[in-house]
Amino acid sequence: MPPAVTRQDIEVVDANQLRIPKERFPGMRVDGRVFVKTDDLEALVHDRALGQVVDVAHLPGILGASMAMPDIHYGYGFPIGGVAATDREEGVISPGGVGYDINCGVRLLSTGLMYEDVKDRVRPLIDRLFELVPAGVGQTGRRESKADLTEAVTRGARWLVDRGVIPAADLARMESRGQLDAADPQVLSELFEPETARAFGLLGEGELCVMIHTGSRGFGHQICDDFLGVMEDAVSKYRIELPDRQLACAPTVSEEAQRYLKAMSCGANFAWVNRSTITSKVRQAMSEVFRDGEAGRRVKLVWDVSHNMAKEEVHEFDGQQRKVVVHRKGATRAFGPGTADLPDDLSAVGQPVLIPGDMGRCSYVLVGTAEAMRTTFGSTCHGAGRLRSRTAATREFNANEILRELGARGIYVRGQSKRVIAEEAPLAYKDVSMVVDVMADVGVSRKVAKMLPVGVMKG
Amino acid sequence: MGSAAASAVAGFYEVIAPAAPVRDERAAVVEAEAPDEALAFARAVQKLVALFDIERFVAAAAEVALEPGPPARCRISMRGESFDPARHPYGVEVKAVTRHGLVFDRAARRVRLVLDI
Repeated sequence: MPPAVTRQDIEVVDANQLRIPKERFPGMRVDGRVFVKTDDLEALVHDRALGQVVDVAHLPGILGASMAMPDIHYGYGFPIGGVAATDREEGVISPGGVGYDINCGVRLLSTGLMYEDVKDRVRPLIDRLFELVPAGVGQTGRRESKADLTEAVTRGARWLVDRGVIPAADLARMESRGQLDAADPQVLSELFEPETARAFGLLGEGELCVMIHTGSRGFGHQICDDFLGVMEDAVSKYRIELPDRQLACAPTVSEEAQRYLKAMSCGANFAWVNRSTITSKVRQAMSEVFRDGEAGRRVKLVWDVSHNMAKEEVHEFDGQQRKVVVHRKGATRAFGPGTADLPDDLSAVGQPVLIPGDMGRCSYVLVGTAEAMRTTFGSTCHGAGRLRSRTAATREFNANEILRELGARGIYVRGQSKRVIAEEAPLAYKDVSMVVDVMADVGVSRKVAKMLPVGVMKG
Repeated sequence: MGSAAASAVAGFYEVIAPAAPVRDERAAVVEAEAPDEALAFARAVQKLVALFDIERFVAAAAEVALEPGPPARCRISMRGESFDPARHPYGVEVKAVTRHGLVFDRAARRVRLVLDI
């Protein structure tokens, strides 16, 4: 298990950062660096996730620091909220640094409608989405042929463009244009940077938006599981010493690692197809509920982010441009202005970053910065971070009470089961505003807009 | 060590179908190979996940045979039946056998597997 990190092992850098010097634990190749409010470290010190930051620092070829964002919590091997960049030529790639849910991510859709004008339609919209979108294990829907599945996982979202399911314009608003080799209506409640929000394609305060949060499901899970086995053999073959077997890895230039990258890309493409298909269902539901085909066509993709991925990127490190593999497990890419892979109309602004909160409080739209490129290999937080495990949440929280309380606040919730509702209890999560504030104070991502939930569908 | 590993297998099925009266109706065997015993056992238990997902097999009793190798080999031989929702209470879905915190301590006869549920 990860080492216990005590108060003596930690140096407070400033109000928002702490450091675990590499000299504190044998085998660490770089420091640990955690972005978190440092005025009260008591709870954090007892969280074994800090020990996982220490473990990740053992990875061969890791550069800079083993980092964690303020939504840090305990995971398998890597902590959730972990970021680790490894040298492309000298370092390793680890499936544990991506996680089981490859390309779990979030997208934001603008509807072009103001909530106050359409609030009586939110409930039927949620109900219709509940009918159209299969949610949860064992649900059935349309079956695709093996040939179609192959197309989907190799071509990603482009496959859906060719089938006429989504418009080509959507591709420009996805990382990697939606291809590598749980819709939540939200209302825009507060704009911190109106110009930036408009550049992203948002109307303004009061707009009804939809947030979709899902990943590669069992497909990505199987890929991770299969390649853990491949990497375990590689660890033995390449004589790599690791403190946790879940960090199993192989040199990025090795055949094993290249095979994993290709398989991971298939998982990523599957997730983009997944989110894009749900987007098409949102457009369909909007057209039906508003009895207006234009309502569906007005739905625009603002942006799509991944928060479980390993990406080959070029970053400046030690004064030089360096090819690296950035592992983000429960962390989001946050590229600053002028970075490659941004569409032309956002190049001067920076990359949108979508941070989903719990279903009772709020979510955020942020923007990536040049500081992120300097400090965190272009990375920021991904969400609220759990305070309670799913199991603990089902013991502590009552689904009916949650539904009553949220309903009294005007938030309509549909869940696949009472268990899912309890697992997703708002108080099972940290306050996302605190997480986002840390990253804003550090300068890694700025707040653009805040969104309040008005309807939730949980699968 | 075989009995400790067999206890871990029993614990695995306890997660899926807690306190279930499982009948001895048919046999099932899974085997796995890995650089060491701990991984061989973890991989073998991972195959039990697939066995449940595809054939809905739950075990009444299990025996675990280990060869240290290298390569290490693990064979889990079981007697059981197909999961019957009418008789077997469903616990939680096991999605994977992680390698996180994997313990396979011969001296202490202790096994630990962390399951992703």
